Order: sequence, then C-alpha cells, then structure tokens
Amino acid sequence: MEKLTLDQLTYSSRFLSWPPLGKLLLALALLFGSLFADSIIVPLLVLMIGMILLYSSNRFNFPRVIIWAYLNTLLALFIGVFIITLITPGTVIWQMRLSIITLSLSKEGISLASLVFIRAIAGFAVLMFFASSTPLPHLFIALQQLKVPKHVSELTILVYRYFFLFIEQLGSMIQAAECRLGFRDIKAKFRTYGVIVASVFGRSMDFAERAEQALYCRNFRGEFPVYRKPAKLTARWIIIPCIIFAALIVINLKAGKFLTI
Amino acid sequence: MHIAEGFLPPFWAIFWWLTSLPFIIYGVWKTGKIFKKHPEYKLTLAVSGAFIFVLSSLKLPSVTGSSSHPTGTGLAAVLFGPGVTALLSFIVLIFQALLLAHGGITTLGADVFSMGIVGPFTAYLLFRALRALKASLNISVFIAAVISDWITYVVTSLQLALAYPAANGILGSFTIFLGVFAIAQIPLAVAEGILIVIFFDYLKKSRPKLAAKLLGKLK
Repeated sequence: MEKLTLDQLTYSSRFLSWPPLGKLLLALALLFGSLFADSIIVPLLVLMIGMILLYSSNRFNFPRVIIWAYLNTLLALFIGVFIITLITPGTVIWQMRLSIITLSLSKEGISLASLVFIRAIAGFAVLMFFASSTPLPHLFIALQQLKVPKHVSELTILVYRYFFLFIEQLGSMIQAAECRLGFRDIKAKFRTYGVIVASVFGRSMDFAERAEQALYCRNFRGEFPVYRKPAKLTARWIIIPCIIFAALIVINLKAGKFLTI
Repeated sequence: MHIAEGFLPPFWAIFWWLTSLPFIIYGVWKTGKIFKKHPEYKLTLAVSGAFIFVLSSLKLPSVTGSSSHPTGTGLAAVLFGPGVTALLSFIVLIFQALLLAHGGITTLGADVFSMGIVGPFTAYLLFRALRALKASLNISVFIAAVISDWITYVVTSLQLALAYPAANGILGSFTIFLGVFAIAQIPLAVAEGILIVIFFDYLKKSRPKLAAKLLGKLK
C-alpha cells in the first residue's frame, strides 16, 4: 500500500479552499476559548468541535508517522497530568511523605488535572485539524497579509521543503546502517547516529551550495515569486472566530466552576 | 522538553509569549540584515533550519529505557549565534507543534524561551568561554551541549512550577518536576553531548574543507 504523505493529506482536505488565516483564527479562537475556561464543559465542547472538523476534513486518515508522534506526546501528557494531580493543594484524600516532599491527592488536584488533560486533548484535535487542512507554505504566504516580513515567510517555506528532502536521506542512511548492524549495541548506536548526523549535515551544506548556484543561473534576485496564492482573509473569517470565542466564554460563565469528581 | 498544548494557564501562556517576543523580533531583524547583505545565505540558513528539524526527529537511546531526541539548537547557536537561532527555533517549534504535536501554539512562547533562547544562549556563552580558556574543541562542544540541555530542563521545570505551585509553594513543585525530568533528561543530555562530539569529529575527518570553514568561524 502506498504511504500517505502530509502534502497529500493537506491538499486532499475538504477545507483546502478556506483561507489559511481564517483557519488559523478559528483554531486560535477554539484554543484560547478552551484555555480561558475553568469549566470542563468548554474543553469538552472544543474537543467535540475539533473531532467533527477533523473527521470532515479527511475522515481521520493520517500518515502513520503523525499518529505515532501524537501517541508519544500523549504518554508525556499523562506524566504531566499525574504530577499536577499529586501537587495541587486542596481537600486531601490521600497523602504520602517522601523526606522533604509531601505527595497528596486532593479533590482539587483531580479536578484541575482532568481540566488540563481534556484541554490538552482538545488542543491536539484543533491543531491536528489545522495541520491536516492547511498546507503550511500557504499559511506562511498568507502571513504576509499581516505584514510578517517576507524573508521570514520565505525562510519558513524553505525549511519546510528541505526538511522532507533531508528526512528521506536520513531514512535511507538509517536503513543502510541497520543492514550493516550499525545499531547492535549502545556504543555502535551513538557512533552510527553521530556519523549519520554529520553526513546529513555535510550533504545538506553541499545541497545548499548547489541550490544557490542553480538559483543564480535562473536570475535569482533574493526573492521567491509565488504563483498560486491561497485565499485571502475576509471579514467573515474574522467575525466567525470572534463569535465562537465569545460563545465559549459565555458557556463557561453559565457552566460555573469546573467539574468536581 | 516541550510543554504540550493547553498545559499552561492563560496568564503564563501570555507571559512566556511576551518574554520570548523581543528575542524573536531581534532574530527577525538580524536575519533580515544578513539577507540584505548576502541574499544567498537564505538557502544556507533554511538548510540549517531543516537540519535542526531533522535532528529533532532522531531517536536517541537512554539508560532509563526510554528514548528521546536531540534539540539541535545548541549546535545552531554555536554555528550561527543565539539571535538567528531564536528565529530558527521559533520556526522549527511551530512545525513540531503542528506536525508532531510536540508543544503547542498557546505554549509556543514558553517552549521558545526554554529551547530556543535560554538553551542556545547558554550553549553559545559556554562554548565561547571554554574556547577562550583554551579548552579543546571536543570538550568545549560536549560541555556546552550538555549544560545547555540541562538548563533547558531547569527552565521548563520552573515554567511548570510557576503555573502549578504545590502546597509548600513554587519550590515544592519545582523540585518534583525537576526530579521527574532528571531521571530521563540527565542521561539524555549526556547522550546529545556525545552525539555532537562524534558529529564534529566525523566532520573533521570526512569533510575537512567544510569542517575547516566552520571551525574557522568557531575560533
């Protein structure tokens, strides 16, 4: 089966035609609406909206590498939330003294940890929706509308493009090293990784030199022209995120303090 | 060490954004100045940014059984200076947040401050100081990489402790966050230090011209 790439994912999204800045504002409205809430209802609502957007965008069809990255982050998130549960002061349910540190499980700690966890998961869903429906070069070209310096957007697009070239080289080198038992023990692993990193660096510098010569041969004058510009931000795309943010704040006020378990 | 999306309360999310912003703006100004004088450096810098991103996708073995990735920002700071690294880190951290869920948008300010500003600045200053004290290249690179990694974890622990103080105050939660991270991050920082030393060593042997060019810059 052919592997799904990130570019294929974003360019096949149903929301590709939406203005990138509009999608960014929508994502920010949802993220900040969830962040400002002290009721668990709001992050749950944002999670639901995020999941609906994600499903409508590309039916939960993601490259495997992204799914692994998200699962990896989820594990780190569990550790962070666990610590918050143990350190938050409040009505103590369980306590343990460890020399200078006192670990206690409080009602408030569980509530706060639940809120942070749902908020983080909701944030993942919203970020995933945004990343899977917006080709990142589109976003950075669109940022020029907000007077972000052109050299920054160009630099960002070039970093994005070169990353995929280098990750391919890195993959081939790792596979070649595996075939030669380059990862057989810890010492070999370090040596192999060091050699691979230096090789990718050397190659990338050669590549930059070749690309520079090629560009000058094509009359490069320090700027990259953009031929297919993404949709522009319209007033509708400013009003809708503002309404969503205001609605989330109102829901938070009506819902009261966060859920007590 | 990225702080995940939604993990910081609004006050701290905004506070760290405002703290990082002057450094990012300085990086934007500095790169703009460089590009005006040498437009061809756009490609070199872009390639370096992509290299940092690639480096951060490498899985390093750790003695605790877990694995993690090098940050690469210490290396960038040593090669290009801390100002440019702040901007490069900002760009790479946006990609990591959006594509890999490492970090987030609301926590981007905090992540840039620990990984793109404090870490690289420490690496740069330490490296310069050690070279001025006539320490060997390998020792200077190793110490700069390891200490800057540790400082990054200390700052991340402090950011989390400020946001979530324990019953006995910020110091209490700082000790707990630092203690939990130390188990994995102390050996990982040493691992990254070793990796970067091997990197420079191999570069000197396999690409003497490129190494000489870089080492000339690093004197």
